[in-house]
Amino acid sequence: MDIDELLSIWQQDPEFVRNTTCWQIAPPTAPSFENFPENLPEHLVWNLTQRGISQLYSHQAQALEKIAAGQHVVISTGTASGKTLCYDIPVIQTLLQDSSARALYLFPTKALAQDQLRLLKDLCSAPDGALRPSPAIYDGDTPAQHRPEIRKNADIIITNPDMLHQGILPHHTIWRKFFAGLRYVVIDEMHTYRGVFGSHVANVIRRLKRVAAFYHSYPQFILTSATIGNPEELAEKLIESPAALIDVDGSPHGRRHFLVYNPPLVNEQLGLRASSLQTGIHFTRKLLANNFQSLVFARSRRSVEMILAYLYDSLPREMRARIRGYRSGYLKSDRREIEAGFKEGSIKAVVATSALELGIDIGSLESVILVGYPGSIATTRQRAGRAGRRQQASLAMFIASPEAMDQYLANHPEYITEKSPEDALLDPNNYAILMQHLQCAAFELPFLADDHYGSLPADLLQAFLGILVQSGVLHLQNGKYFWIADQFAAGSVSLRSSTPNVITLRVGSGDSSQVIGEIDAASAKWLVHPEAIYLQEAETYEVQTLDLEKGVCLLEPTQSEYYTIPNVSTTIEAFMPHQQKSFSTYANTYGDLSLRLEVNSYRKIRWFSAETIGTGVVDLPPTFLETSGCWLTFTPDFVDQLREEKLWNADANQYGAGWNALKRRILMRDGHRCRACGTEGDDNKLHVHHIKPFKTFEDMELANAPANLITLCPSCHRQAEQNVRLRSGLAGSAYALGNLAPLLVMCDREDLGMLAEARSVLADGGPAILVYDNVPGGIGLSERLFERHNFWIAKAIEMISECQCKEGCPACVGPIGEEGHGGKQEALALLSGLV
Amino acid sequence: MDFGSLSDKLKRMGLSLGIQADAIRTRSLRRPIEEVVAGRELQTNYGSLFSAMHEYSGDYQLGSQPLLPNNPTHGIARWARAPHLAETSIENFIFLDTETTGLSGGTGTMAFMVGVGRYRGNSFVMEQFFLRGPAEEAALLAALEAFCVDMAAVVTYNGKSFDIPILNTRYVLQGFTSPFEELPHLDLLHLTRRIWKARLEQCTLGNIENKIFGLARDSDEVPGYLIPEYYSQYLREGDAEPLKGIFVHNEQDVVSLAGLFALFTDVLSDPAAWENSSSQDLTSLGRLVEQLGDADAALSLYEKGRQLGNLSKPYVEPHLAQARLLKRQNRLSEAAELWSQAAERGALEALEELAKYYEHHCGEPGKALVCTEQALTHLQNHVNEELETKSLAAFSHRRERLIHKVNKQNQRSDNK
Repeated sequence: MDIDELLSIWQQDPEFVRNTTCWQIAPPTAPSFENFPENLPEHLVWNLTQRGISQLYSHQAQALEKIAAGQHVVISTGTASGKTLCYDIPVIQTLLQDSSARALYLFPTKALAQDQLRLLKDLCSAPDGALRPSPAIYDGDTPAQHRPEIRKNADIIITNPDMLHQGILPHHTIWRKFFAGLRYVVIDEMHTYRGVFGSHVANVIRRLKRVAAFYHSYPQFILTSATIGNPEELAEKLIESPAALIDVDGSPHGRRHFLVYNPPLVNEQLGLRASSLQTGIHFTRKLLANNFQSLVFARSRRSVEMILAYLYDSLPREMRARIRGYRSGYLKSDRREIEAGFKEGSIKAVVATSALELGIDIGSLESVILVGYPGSIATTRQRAGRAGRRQQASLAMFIASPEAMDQYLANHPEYITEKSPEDALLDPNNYAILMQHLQCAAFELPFLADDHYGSLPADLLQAFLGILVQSGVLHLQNGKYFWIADQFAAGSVSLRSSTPNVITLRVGSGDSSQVIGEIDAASAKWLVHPEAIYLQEAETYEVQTLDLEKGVCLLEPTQSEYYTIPNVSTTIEAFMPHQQKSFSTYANTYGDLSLRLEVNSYRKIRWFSAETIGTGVVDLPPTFLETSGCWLTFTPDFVDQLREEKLWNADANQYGAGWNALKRRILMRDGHRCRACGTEGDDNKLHVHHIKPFKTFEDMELANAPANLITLCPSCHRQAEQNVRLRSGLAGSAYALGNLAPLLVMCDREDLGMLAEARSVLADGGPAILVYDNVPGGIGLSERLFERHNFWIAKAIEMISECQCKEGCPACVGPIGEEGHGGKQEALALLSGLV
Repeated sequence: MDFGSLSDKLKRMGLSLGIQADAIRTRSLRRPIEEVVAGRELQTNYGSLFSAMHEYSGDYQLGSQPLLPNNPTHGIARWARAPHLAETSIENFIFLDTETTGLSGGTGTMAFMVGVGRYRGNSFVMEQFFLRGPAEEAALLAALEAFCVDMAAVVTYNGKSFDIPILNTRYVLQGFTSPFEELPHLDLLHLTRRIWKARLEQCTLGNIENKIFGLARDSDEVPGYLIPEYYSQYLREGDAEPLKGIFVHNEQDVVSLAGLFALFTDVLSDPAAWENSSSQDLTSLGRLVEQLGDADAALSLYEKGRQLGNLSKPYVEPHLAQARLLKRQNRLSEAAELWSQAAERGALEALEELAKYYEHHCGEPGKALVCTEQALTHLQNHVNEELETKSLAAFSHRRERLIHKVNKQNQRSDNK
């Protein structure tokens, strides 16, 4: 049986068809071949032929052509389409022709570097057994005694951005032969260089170009990327030069089925859906029963373990050894064994986290299942792309969880299958990041009074250098800025955090404790406040203590059934608009902000169902964040219109049997007068109002507790209700906009902050919705949202209106039962007024 | 709303910017270096810089140590694995020490002062090149190169990992070729460690002066770790007065370096003749010359070391070293004599060697067993160290084997 036949059986099940929101079939394509260029060196042709390569795919040929013409190139074709050869062939060819030429390969991880070295060794091996050109890895794992040899003899240096930043550039004089000969810089998996990390890497590349120029080299850049919305833009941001895009894939593949499966609603009121995890297990079993090799991606280690446990339960003992997990924490040797076993077929299924990512070669598969959205379309496509044989049919299936983005994509699978709307963004001129790299750059080579640094305006560069002179790290003499501080500048700059102040994450205590990473001190308060659940490489930890002074956070591994979301209370201390677009009902503004952020509490959210199952209190000092943001403010007319028309036509609540008696008691308690304006009156003319809205309670008794009730006159009551509803409309809109933002800009949920205010300084006391970059200085996320706000708002309206829940749920405007959330109708009314 | 200046904004972003501007004092006194240190402005093709010169006569003594060597350089040349230096005039050895803007290395560390010295006839001359500002670096490097004319080797203290890589980097950054690239380099720290590491806690140059030359340093010199800070303060505030101590420190280092060179040159030219009353020093030197291939000198140093050995302490290093060398020369009975002496003081290595010697060479497993038992008794009293737990297992294993062998031998003799 092949995949086509299996799917035709599934297709007969009406339930399956009903829940499958997308079934895209990519017909098999024939390879588009072109011949090798004529001048390829003999031993390279021989080595390629040995690997079964006697022709090039059209995109490879195109890359060779453009590279030969001296252009910078960015290649964005599918998973396993042979992107590597696009750069290996021209690099080897040039380096063979010119013995002084050198190449630098940058990979985001050490594991990828190892994979590449193996391939390069195959391609470079000459008949006499020597490697020509000679490739070598130079990274943190390279033993000190091998380093001089590598610096001296290697023609191709394979490393990562961190090593380039701390281990190579600050010592460039001992690499002078390498830099003097530097012809190519290869940047693989370019899409990983976005956000804070990308902004750092863009600066490392500026420094690389600066150092190369010192030795009179101006290297050509070759970049590769997974499919993102803006590969050319990202490449250009990274290397600050235009790059020619190659994105027409000439590699062949068999028929490909891509399915999006949305588990059915089981509770419409609460918007609860059948478990995506169980659904994933169900389909994996079916695939295994029919002897198809499957790769299952889950979002956390805990999910991996649950899926494995369920699979083992239903399988005969002899099958269990053929089903393996793959996640961080596994030994290298285990990983290699699993990869090899999977490749040759002895292992039938692997359940993996993101640990199995980024080019780790396990061959191509018949089926891949994604349980839950991995956070970006690029990753979704990369993972789905693992399924795809050259000849036979293959299946990739995305099973949506109840979370907002999952649900949106279940309804709009075209964003996965067709044109990806998500842009990878970075901002090399983020002040906080820039400032650190200007110091590194000044350490490497003195700046001149008329110098430039990437695209940074010259006057701004001089202003920054002036500050560094004032602070004593640089000395200006004869128009040259000399580094005179007793510091190794790169030593204190981590490419993973936006400021030099970091919190070290430790697991365990005492001598046995281990550092698992570090995060920005600025974001520590919301990422690792005490009792928070912290995720790293799909491992979950619970925060024990956070010591901001010592910069240490102690973690304990946990298998908790929930994750946490901090409630951040945000105060706008100052703002400065830069750009504004005005419309009849609202204005959209982009500008700088000075915020005061306080984490007061957090919510515990159950995995898989996204329900809130508890809360906790946090006691930490406030953080001050200088950043940029984008805010929506509404015209008074529009707000009035909302008050008058849209917000009053909801159904009356049923307050329960004893309501009339309770109402009389409250009127008596309040002295038969409006507690807001003091108006006295007849009991029939006075109303009793729920301070916290009735429908936000699950328990009627709590809603009707006297402390939640207040006497108001009809006019004050109307206003109070309106404000509540306006607030929930604002909050619901903000929730939807915030959750949808990663569709437009590749980022993690915590990279953006959201704020909905009924009385905001941003709107002269009127209502406003604010989105800001949760990174000191901002990295361009909210700027891009400002630019694309029409698309953004339209998608948020779609998300809310298409949701099958009644009054709001985690998949659209936020769950009911939370103050300020819910209000599906109100949010829709608000957002619809903006288009 | 006011967003303030760029620097306020950066501060609010949590960027600490080193020394804050308001912490910089404005000095009323801004004495230039020329008023503080005796020296002159030196002109080069690449601009000018400041230089201070010193000359020491041939009979100058650093405590007990003369500044000039009395013997030729063949010994130290052998140690440096540069035999041609044996033929080189002593005047072509350059003694060098730098003072830098940082201790971390890398392209951002400058040498703001380079002190260099060389023998000239019957005296020692030295010059200190100093940057009044970083822009004078090209001039400094050119002046340094001129001083080093006909240089055959550079002599430093920890220069292999510090001074010379920094200078090489500076030459590259100025677009020059470094005169130190591919040049024989005698880093006397390495030699010092070989000889005195066992006896002295610190092998700093200051400590060598103190403990070996019997010389105390001036108290007005600047501690090494503060030097970068003093210099950057001078650049910011313009007062050279606090730098005086750095000139003194640097001068002292270069002169002591020459003294140390004289000491090693003399000692290595005829190691066996070293007049030294420390058993440890003699043994360490013995090991060094043994490695350099002079077994006779090594044996005689070990011999002396044994005789001088402090009997109150179980010091057996010379015994063991000498026995090892004798064993390699296949002079086992002489070695066994030394092992026995060391074994009396509880040396495990000696007991093990003796056991092997008796068992394999003399065919006397009974005696070997006695040595093994002794070692085990010793170990049982000192079982707390990991190393010893390991040897405990080894000796126990050896004992089992020997008991078996002795029994067999006994049976055989019974049967006869």
